Amino acid sequence: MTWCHSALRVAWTPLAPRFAAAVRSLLLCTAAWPWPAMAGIVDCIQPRSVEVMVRIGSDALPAALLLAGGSSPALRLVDPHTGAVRWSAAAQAPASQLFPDMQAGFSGSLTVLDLDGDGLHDRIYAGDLSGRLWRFDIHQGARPEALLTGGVFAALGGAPAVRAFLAPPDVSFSPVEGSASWINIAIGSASLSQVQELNRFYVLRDYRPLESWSTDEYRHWRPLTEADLSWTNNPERTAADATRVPQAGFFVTLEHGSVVLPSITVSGHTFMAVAENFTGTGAECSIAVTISSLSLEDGRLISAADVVKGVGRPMKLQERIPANAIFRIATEPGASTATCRLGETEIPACAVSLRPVPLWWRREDAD
Amino acid sequence: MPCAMCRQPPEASGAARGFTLPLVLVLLLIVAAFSASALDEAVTNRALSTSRLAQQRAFLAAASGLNLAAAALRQDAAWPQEYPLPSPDHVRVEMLRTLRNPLPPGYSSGRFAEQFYELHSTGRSTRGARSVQVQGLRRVEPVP
Repeated sequence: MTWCHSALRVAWTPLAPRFAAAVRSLLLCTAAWPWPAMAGIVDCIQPRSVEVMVRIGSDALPAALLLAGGSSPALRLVDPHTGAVRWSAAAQAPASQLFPDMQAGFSGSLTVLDLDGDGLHDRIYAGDLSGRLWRFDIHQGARPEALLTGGVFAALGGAPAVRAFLAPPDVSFSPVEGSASWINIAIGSASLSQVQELNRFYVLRDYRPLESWSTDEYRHWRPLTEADLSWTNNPERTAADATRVPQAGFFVTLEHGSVVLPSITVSGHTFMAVAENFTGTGAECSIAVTISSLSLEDGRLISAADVVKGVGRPMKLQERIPANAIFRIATEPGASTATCRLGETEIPACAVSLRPVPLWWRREDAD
Repeated sequence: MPCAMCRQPPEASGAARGFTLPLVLVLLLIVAAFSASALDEAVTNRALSTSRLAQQRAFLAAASGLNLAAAALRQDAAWPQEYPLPSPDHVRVEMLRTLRNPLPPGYSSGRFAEQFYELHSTGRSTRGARSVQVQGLRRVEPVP
């Protein structure tokens, strides 16, 4: 595997072709793979970065840095003005922090959260190219060598890894009121190593949403696997299975295609775009998309076209869309709902009600 | 010869003379007092009912203001808002943004936020009647 490591050390740059080369290098290490069929999705991958408000060092001021994925180092924080690397993480030196399990790179499947509302980010969820979901806690004000604690939260890529995470995790708090809250992490996989591999869309539950874990806690955490999750569209699923509450989370298998676009959660329903037929490269890449929707409560498939009818029928977009498209929420002045679109197509079930909900009332002139 | 069967003339009975008139006068006085009391009560009640009516109008004006303002929240209206009501009533509503939750339950973090509002509606009517009502609201809004 020595040649694999050297292949993984392709220097990551913000340039898409270099990034695609890095991904190819990684994939060459995993298995023999059908290149012609893969070329489309690999050439379509656009490296994404997310802005992170972070304070590195006790004397430093908070700064907005870009968190980006790559192959070596796997993660890095970059000053957007100077391009200087302020922090990095990898499996081997040189890097600010070493995470021995961080063998695969990250493509940009990154989501950051500010959990306490202080303007600084506290949590990172990141999916790697081996189908593992990582959870990191940011320790604001710490030195670069101790800025993050983290580890693999779920290992879902298969053994050997045949599925990767390219789309950023969609994170939402539990919609169920009156019970202990948790974080739902919705993320779909993409096939990079085998064309015929069925991809999945996962919704994982983090039951310690506000807790910052220590290195020891991460070390003792047993990563979730598919065995811990409910397979909600399993054709052999019994009625009893359907009524069981998915504790650790659930997943659905996708009949075809990969998840490369960010999902969105509205009113307790997650909308995912399953992409296939990748054409073009870089910014010119376009995809054919089918949209499906899941209930976060029990993983039931619902209609993306009309949530009221409740039939779990996917919605196929008539036109092709760019591979870097996102679900866009648009509000018109005076409208009672915000529309939800992917490309130029409106997704009716994804519309957001803008009506204010009364919570309480009081009269102030009475004695 | 005196006639025992004959009726005596009125002037002959001194103790009974003038009895009816004072009695009637006293009764009239009592009736007048009751009338005055009833009139006073009627006047008071009328004033009270007028005041109560004005207060009810002010209350309803304030309630209308809350409804109109809740609808105006969608339109990026400038605050405070004053709404035309049938004269002499009028209402003025002030809006306060209170809490903002960047992690609304059931919605994607970073794409939506839960915004809490307080609407203070002051309705006014005749005779200085005034009603102040406060409504707490929440709304999920897309993050620009």
